[in-house]
Amino acid sequence: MILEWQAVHGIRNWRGALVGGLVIPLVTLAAIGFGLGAVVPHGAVGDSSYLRFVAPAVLATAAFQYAVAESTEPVMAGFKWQRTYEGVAVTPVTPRQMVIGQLLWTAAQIAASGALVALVMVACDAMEPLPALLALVFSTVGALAFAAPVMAFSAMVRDGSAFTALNRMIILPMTLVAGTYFPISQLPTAARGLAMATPLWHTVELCRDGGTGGPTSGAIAVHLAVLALWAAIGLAATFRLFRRRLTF
Amino acid sequence: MDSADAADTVVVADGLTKRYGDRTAVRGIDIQVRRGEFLGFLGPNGAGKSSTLRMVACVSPRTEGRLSVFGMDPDRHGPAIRARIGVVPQQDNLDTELSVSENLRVYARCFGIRRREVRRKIAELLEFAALTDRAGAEVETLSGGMRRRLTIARALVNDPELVLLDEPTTGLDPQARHLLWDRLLGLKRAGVTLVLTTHYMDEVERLCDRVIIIDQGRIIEQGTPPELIGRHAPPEVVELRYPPDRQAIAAEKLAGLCERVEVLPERLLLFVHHSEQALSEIYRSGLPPESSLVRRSTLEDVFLHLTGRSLDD
Repeated sequence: MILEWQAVHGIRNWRGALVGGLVIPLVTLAAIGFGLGAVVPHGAVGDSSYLRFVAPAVLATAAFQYAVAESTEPVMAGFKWQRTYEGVAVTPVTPRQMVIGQLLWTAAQIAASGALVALVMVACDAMEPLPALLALVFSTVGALAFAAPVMAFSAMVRDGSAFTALNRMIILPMTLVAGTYFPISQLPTAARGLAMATPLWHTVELCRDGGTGGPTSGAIAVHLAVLALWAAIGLAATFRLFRRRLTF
Repeated sequence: MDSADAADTVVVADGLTKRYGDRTAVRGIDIQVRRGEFLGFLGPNGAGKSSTLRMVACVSPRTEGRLSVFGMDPDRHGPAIRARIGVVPQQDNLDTELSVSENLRVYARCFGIRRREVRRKIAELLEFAALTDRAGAEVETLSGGMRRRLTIARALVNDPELVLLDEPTTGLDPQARHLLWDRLLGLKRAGVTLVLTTHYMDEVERLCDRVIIIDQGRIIEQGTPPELIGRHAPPEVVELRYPPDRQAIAAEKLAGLCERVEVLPERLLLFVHHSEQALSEIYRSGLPPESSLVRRSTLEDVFLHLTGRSLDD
């Protein structure tokens, strides 16, 4: 039912969603993939072209940004700006169901906009169809795993300025260094460890190699396990915070 | 309590207590709300009215005491109880980005009401709230009174047996208040049990069958509005104004003429049985006031007498 509530919202705001979900990743793909890719010599990032190297990462990054957008301000609006969560709290819907509903809706949006982005990527030969499909699945899963801790963060902070800090201190640096635009082997050792802890790196790795048959199933399992850990911690914290803020 | 009683009693609280850390909001209160009753909670800010309502609404676990709503324990059957309650919060929490009817629709879905049923229900509630012609308007564009009506209509989507209203008319203009009162009395006529908190005594006198006055987390008095007035205030009040230098003398001399005198910074309130007689005696006593006003005692007099006139929030 929360899913439906969110869906009614989403349908009203489809234009905005389209801009955020489609235009931004495609502009990134054009600028970084085609623009920057043209000056990166072939073979600099493995044996594929730079465009093919960066495309899965753009898909994953877009999914993460979507997840962040859906798990920050809408949560603050629910608790504080519009207090819609209070309204729901007095219905039979439990805080836990509210969290799950909101995350499912986020996942649906990420998958839908990601599908469009992936389609364009296949059309301009940045990805092969099957790897693109797998990358779509992995990027949705990874972004959802990240949405959970971000939601906990949003339920914890008391005003919107925290989101600016989150974007500047966490999201943007993560987007730049988590193996997105260049391999993390280029990073100093200490930074590499940090990059490898981010859920984005694991998602990018899954999106990039998942469809090539290159990595072992063991590597995939490790990436998924790390994402599952992020999701589990995030979810547990979000459940707790929602219950505490809605039933006191 | 035997089972026949239980069917007629919607809410039972024994020694209900709520503590937030060191602060005790509700200190062991006993309440029984009978089916079909319109009960009013009066109390200064911070008296524990909202905390009590939140516990009954199953969105605030009690710290101590026994609480049963529809014969069920809120700690264990929260969702089942909430399915049968309607809540009108102190502050509107409508989804302002959605339209009027969308707000009703998504809320109805939270109660698991079937889609076909929802459509019929929305039409009925729009009518109830006098918002039929604004059905498609975004809530953002509604006036305060319209939002309030929508909030109340929304609380009725599940045909609740018990409706909890936390200061439902605060901030409304007189037209909107009167419309709301009529709607609430209509609900009562339909057999709905209503519990209301308010600061407006006229609201309680007009609507409620029974009043509970709480102060500092305790019940200090309860009864029907006429009972309370009869118990705590003689039927009539003479309000007198004197120049500051003469007020104290007047208060002392006139004390014998009435049952009780209240001395306020700019007024003397004389509680009497026969105002005409009192007034003529006042003029005979050689202490003519600058102005005088005679009125009936109200629940407000009782309330101020019991909870004190100082602002303690």
